[in-house]
Amino acid sequence: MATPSKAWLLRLAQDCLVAVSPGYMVEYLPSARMIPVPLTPRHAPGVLVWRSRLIPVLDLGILLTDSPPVATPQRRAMVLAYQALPGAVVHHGALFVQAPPTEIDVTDGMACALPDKPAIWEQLSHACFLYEKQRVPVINLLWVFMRSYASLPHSVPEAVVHDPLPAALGMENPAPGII
Amino acid sequence: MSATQTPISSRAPEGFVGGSALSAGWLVLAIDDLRLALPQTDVRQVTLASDLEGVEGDESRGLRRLKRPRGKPWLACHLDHNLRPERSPGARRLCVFFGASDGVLGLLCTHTWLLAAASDLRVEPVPRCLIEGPTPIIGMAFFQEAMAVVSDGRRLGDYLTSLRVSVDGDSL
Repeated sequence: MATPSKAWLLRLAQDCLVAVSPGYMVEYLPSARMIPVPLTPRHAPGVLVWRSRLIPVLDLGILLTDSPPVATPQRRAMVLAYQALPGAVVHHGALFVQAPPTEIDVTDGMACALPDKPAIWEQLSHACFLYEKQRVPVINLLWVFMRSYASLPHSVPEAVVHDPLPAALGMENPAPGII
Repeated sequence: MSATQTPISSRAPEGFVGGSALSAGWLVLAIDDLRLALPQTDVRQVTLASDLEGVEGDESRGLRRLKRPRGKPWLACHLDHNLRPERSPGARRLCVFFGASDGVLGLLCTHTWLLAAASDLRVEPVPRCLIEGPTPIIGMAFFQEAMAVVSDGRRLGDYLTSLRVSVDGDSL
C-alpha cells in the first residue's frame, strides 16, 4: 500500500474545498487587511501587506461558486508560495479562506475526476480527490496566481495535462524554497 | 521614504509645479483611499479645482469634464477610488494636470504629496492575476504603510481618453 501524501485543505466558500501541498503553505493570517487595487477582477480585489511585501490576494470562492464579495475589511487568508520552475524565484500570493486550514492524509485510491462545473476548475487544478464524499481539487498555484483573468471564461488550454495525485501534491517535485 | 513628502495642497494654487523644475521623483494623488503615483516629469501643473469650469453640455455623459478658464483649455475629469467615472467630484479640491499622449489632461484629487527621488517608491509590477483588462496601472509600491498604484502620464491619459470619446474636437 502506498504511503499517504499530506495535503492541506482550504475552505474557500461554504461548499468549496481545495487542497494544497504542504510545501506551498507559508502562513495562515487570521485577520488580514486587504488593500483594494482598482480595475481588477471581482475575485482578485487587491493586495495584502505581508512581511513588508505587497502580495496579491484572491477570493476564489467568488470565481468558483459565484458567491458575492465579502465586505468585511479583516478576513482570514492563507499565504502560499509558488514558482515557475524549480530553482526559480519564489513568489507569494494569498487566498481568502473561511476557516483555518486542516491537514489530511491523501492516498492514490482517493483520486477522482474534477467537478464538472465551473469549467475553470480545469485551469486552476491539476488533480482531484474524494474526501468525505466531496470532490477536492488540488489547485496549481502557478495557474492560479501567474495567469491573467482578462478574458474569462476560458477554454481549457491544450497544454494542460492533469497530474496524478502524488505529483499534484508535490511528492515528485521539490517544494519551493519557502522562507 | 524621503523626508520631502510634503503635503502641497495648501500651497500656491496654480503654477507652482513646472515641467522642468521637477525632474525626478513622484507626485502622489489621493482619490479617497486610493493613492496614485505619477512621475513628476509627467506633471505639468497643480491647481485648485474651484478654478476650473465645467464643459457645457456634459451633464448627460458618464464622465464630467472640466477645463481651465485661462491659458490653453486643458481638460480634466474626476474618477472614484476604483478609477471609474463618478458624477460628483465630492471633496476633490485639487487638479493635477499631466502630459498625456495627445496633449495635457487633468485628474481631480483631494491631496497630493511630493516624493523627491525616484527611489522613494520601490515600484513592483502588478501581478498578472490582478489584471482584468485595459488599465493605466503599471505598478504598485509601498506608500505610508499602505500602497500606491503607479501609472504614468501616457497610460493614464490613454485610460481617461478611453472613458470618453472626443466632444467638440476636444481630446478627452
